Amino acid sequence: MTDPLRRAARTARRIPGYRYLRRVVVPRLRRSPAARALAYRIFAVESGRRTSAGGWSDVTAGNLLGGIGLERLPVVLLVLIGTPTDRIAQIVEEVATMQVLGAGFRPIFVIDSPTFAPIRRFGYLAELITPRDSWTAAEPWLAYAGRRLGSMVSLYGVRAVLTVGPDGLDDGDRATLAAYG
Amino acid sequence: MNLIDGPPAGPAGRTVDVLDISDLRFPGGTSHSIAEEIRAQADAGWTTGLVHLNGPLVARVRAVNPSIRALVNDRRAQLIVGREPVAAGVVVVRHPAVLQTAAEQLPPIATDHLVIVANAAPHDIDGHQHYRPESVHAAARDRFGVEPIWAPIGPLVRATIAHRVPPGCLRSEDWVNIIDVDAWSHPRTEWRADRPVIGRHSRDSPQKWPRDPAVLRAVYPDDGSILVRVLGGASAVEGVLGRIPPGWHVQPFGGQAPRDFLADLDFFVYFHDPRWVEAFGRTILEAMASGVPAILPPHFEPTFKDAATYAEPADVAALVHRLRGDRAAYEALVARAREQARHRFSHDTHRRRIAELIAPPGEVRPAISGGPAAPVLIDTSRPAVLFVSSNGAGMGHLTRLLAYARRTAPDLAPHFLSLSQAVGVVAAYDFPFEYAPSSGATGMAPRRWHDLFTARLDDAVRRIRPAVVVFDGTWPYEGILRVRTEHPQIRWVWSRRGMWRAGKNIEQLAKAAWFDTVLEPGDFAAPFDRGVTVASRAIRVGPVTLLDRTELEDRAQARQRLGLPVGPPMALVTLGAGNINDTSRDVGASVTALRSLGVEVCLTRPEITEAGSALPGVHAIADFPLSRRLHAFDLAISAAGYNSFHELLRFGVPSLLVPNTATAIDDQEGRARFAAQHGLAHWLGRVTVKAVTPLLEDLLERGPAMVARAAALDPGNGADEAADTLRQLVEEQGRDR
Repeated sequence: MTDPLRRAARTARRIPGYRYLRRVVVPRLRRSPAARALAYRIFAVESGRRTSAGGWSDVTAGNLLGGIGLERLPVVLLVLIGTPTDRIAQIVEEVATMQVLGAGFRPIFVIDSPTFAPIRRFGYLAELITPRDSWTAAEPWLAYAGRRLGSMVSLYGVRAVLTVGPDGLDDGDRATLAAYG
Repeated sequence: MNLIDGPPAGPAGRTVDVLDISDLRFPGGTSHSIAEEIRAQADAGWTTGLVHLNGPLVARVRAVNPSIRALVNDRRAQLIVGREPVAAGVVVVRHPAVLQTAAEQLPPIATDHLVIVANAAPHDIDGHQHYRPESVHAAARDRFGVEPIWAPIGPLVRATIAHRVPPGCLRSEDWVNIIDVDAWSHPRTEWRADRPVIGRHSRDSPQKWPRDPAVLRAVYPDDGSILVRVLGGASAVEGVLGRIPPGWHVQPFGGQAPRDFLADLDFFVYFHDPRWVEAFGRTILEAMASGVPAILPPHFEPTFKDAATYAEPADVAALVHRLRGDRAAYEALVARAREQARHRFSHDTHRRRIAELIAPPGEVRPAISGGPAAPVLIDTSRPAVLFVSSNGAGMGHLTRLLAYARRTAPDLAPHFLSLSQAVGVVAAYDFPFEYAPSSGATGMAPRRWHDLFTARLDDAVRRIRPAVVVFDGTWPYEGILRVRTEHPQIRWVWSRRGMWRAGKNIEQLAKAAWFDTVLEPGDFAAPFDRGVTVASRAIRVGPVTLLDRTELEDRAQARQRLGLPVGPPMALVTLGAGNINDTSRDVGASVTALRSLGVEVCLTRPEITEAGSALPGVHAIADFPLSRRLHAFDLAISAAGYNSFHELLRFGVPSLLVPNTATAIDDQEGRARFAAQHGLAHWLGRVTVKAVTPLLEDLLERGPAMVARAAALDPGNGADEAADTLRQLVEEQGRDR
């Protein structure tokens, strides 16, 4: 017995103008955030934005990946607290390379120095945390940092948190990123 | 062309011998061919770089093809990401359609040799044109600066493009696919079953199968006389026959390693839709290397010559049975196919064609770049003021707040929360700072981003407990109102400049009700202000600049600090941050005109500019605050944003103003017109060499007089008044609390 969906697809392919629609119109609709939002509403499709933490995960995937489904990629928080600033560019580039190779995650970088340029280079989201040695408020720094990270986990729908050491990514970090793609 | 070159000089870590450019996500032969060429290059000792383009043929987000990914992980090739320049001995672009549609994703690439591998015909089966060779050629020449050489993958593609590329730009030999024969070879000492076993592997696409049911049945029998095995799916067969014959063994694409699949066949039989131009047929080459005789339609003969056997569809079954009955003939066919594969499609074939273009390799080193300094300690012993800046096109909001903040010291303790990634400049003034990503930086829908901003502002307010919050921006975010409701004891100030475009942003003005005080930094061009703020209530202070004139370095000192030569006349060209619109054409014209007048050029690299590059032969500086060193310059060509405009006029730099008309609110043109009408500066809507040259000559001659007129208009730096206002608000807040 032939699958009815396949039968329908075969019929659709015979409709005049089908190929034009498939090649020109459909890609445009897919690329249009407004059209996709409308489709989500009409068909009540799970958009992938709502997360188990109750937050949203429609954060940017950066500027390296392309195609449909970016908003469904898991969000990975890379915590670079205490990482020497001259290491950050190298770390970000390695993450970017892994992202292109696997197309499996969206990174967010948490830094404690305003080293935005190497992160902005790939269009990734950066979050800045006040470093411990600059923290003079009554609230303990750990409480502040924990609250900020918790807020990010919830707000961005973070799937995994990687704490990157001062030497950059280690094999555990790489394996975790590779696990997503 | 037979010139032997090494790669051009390029940045460390981004210089390679061979640069392969393609959409690296393709699931089939294109990616496998790239992988095979990488192996050949690596074995020869050449370094390979890969630049991935998100092309039009892959709709969904998808990983790089596993065969290429494995080579990157094994460090046999380097995936190059980012927009920094790349240098390569030779660039090989595979799939012209990718270059046609995605060239804007490329970084700047320096190379002496560019090969465009035409691995598909321009037209698809239904006449759809995937690429235009003429357009691709022109785009490639513009992008790479060298004449591309077209390299068709086989005779069939050659025939479709030969008349569409310029004479002399078509490689005489085809850029055939290559294969490591030893890696694919599989010994065949006996038949696979009691009947002939034929098979094929390809993508599951209608064009990859015969479209005529009779032809399909003739080539791939469904009567059980021959066993048929398929790798790659056969849903297209359903479309032709109405079902997949029950005796066939069909696996999906990727269901088995092709090498193992081929090992289980006696014959590889590949026929497709006659309307389809199969560019090469990599799977055929794999079958030949494996040792499976390939039976093909005659049109493949120019490509594979006597490495395969050719037959009309009606003759295929008979041919299979005949060879099945003559083992010696079968083995002779196998040996001939393998020999041909080694001779014509081996790694050596590829090494020879690369060696025609480049010399033996050099080494590649990874690049490491630095970053700015860390933030500094907060002072909690004085009343705090929280300065909140939005992220405009430049650094204006942040700089203006900094101007206020440094003048509130030592009475108050400024603290910054900015949506600008340039927030680190605050560290130079020993003020603590925080960053909250803007809506644009997160990619989040604005409605949800407001929740983020509200949370960050609320968190900062609870921790810092400011007496006053000052927001500088033209669009107060709703989070301000929400946080203000929670913290009514704080004084809220909206710092917003005037000179809004006429009739623009009226609805934003109503948000003045969210604030206790509206502070308006003055504008030299206020008489030309036609915006809605003119009639609104505000505390108006003089034009605000970060520095006062007395804080500027003298010419010699400034030039020394900026690393500029002391002698020659020098112009500053600062046409706004690069993330509103592309000013490169204005920059180019400005540089040309200045050079023709014997004036050296200094270009700025604003910290928040996303992608800027200095033109060759000019100076590039990145400095904050640059206004401290404005005396280094004899004249300036600048956009007419609030800060630049007032710094140039206040600090006496003869200026040509080029208003940025792409700003949402700021009436830069009004500012520029005012300055020109009052003899304070010149202005141009768009820079051309012809138009700008006489104006620059005039500035060089009469600039000092214009500067003097501007000085006469200056009521003094409004930042001091603004700081006084903030102190008063802090006092009021303390009394009320």
